[in-house]
Amino acid sequence: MNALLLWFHRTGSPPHFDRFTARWMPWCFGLAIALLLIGTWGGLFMVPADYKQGEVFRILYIHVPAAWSAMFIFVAMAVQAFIALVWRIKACETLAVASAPVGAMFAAITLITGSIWGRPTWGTWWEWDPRLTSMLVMFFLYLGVIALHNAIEDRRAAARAACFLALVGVVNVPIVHFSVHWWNSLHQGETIQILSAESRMHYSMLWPLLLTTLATKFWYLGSLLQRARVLNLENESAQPWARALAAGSR
Amino acid sequence: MEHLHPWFIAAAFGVSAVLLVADAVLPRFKFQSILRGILLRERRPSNPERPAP
Repeated sequence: MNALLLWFHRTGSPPHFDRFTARWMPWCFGLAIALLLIGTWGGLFMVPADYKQGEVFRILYIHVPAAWSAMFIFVAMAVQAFIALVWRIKACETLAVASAPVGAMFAAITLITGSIWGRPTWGTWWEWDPRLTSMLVMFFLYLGVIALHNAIEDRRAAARAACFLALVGVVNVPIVHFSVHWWNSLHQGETIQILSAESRMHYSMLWPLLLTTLATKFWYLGSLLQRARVLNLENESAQPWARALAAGSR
Repeated sequence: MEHLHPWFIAAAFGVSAVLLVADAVLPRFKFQSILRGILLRERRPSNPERPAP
């Protein structure tokens, strides 16, 4: 068996998975918090105000990374769900289910901060605009995955049903992304094109956004590992390693 | 409206911070409560997996 496959199988075993998550989670959260603090400080105090929007444009330093993360996490969740459904790998089921609350949280941040930005800029808290509506649908899809997982008593069946919904729901991601091109939208178009690495934003205003974007990715990793560890312990609570862990925590 | 901009910014970053902290802290509580549940189950006298004294 090649080394990578061996590592994958070993990490996938519940006690190893618990040790792996406990080891890497603090690093991910630590990096995320450091990058988030530097990026937020830069966005709030070091970057000049926008000539058109004034000071309120600074909200984008949390709104845009949260929106990108909400979309990224949905794609990651769908990939994990696909692997879980096709190859029946239990660790991927756990990761897919654990991704949903983190994605929902980022989608909620996107919707709330977007609404707060919309009031002074557009003069309204909410508009049934294609971008806003498709992001709201994404938030509800995340809630659907969480609700479906909690609604079925058989844990494996619940995880498989949630994975299936995650896989179907990924159709919404391109709709969110391209909504500003496909329909006449109030929401502004892309300022930064990730695929062609082009930006209409000057570097003096861009760097905090890059830092907060990286921070949200590390946050996702940390939160994913933490939530996956909880699910892993919940499913394996009768096993000797879980009892030993509980005894050691006294 | 422009004099209110700092409040809008504070609200956006404040709400985000609250959600991020909740996301980091709540699973930790759940993890601790599962560990406590395992310990309680171990201590229960009717537990068949409990080693004989």
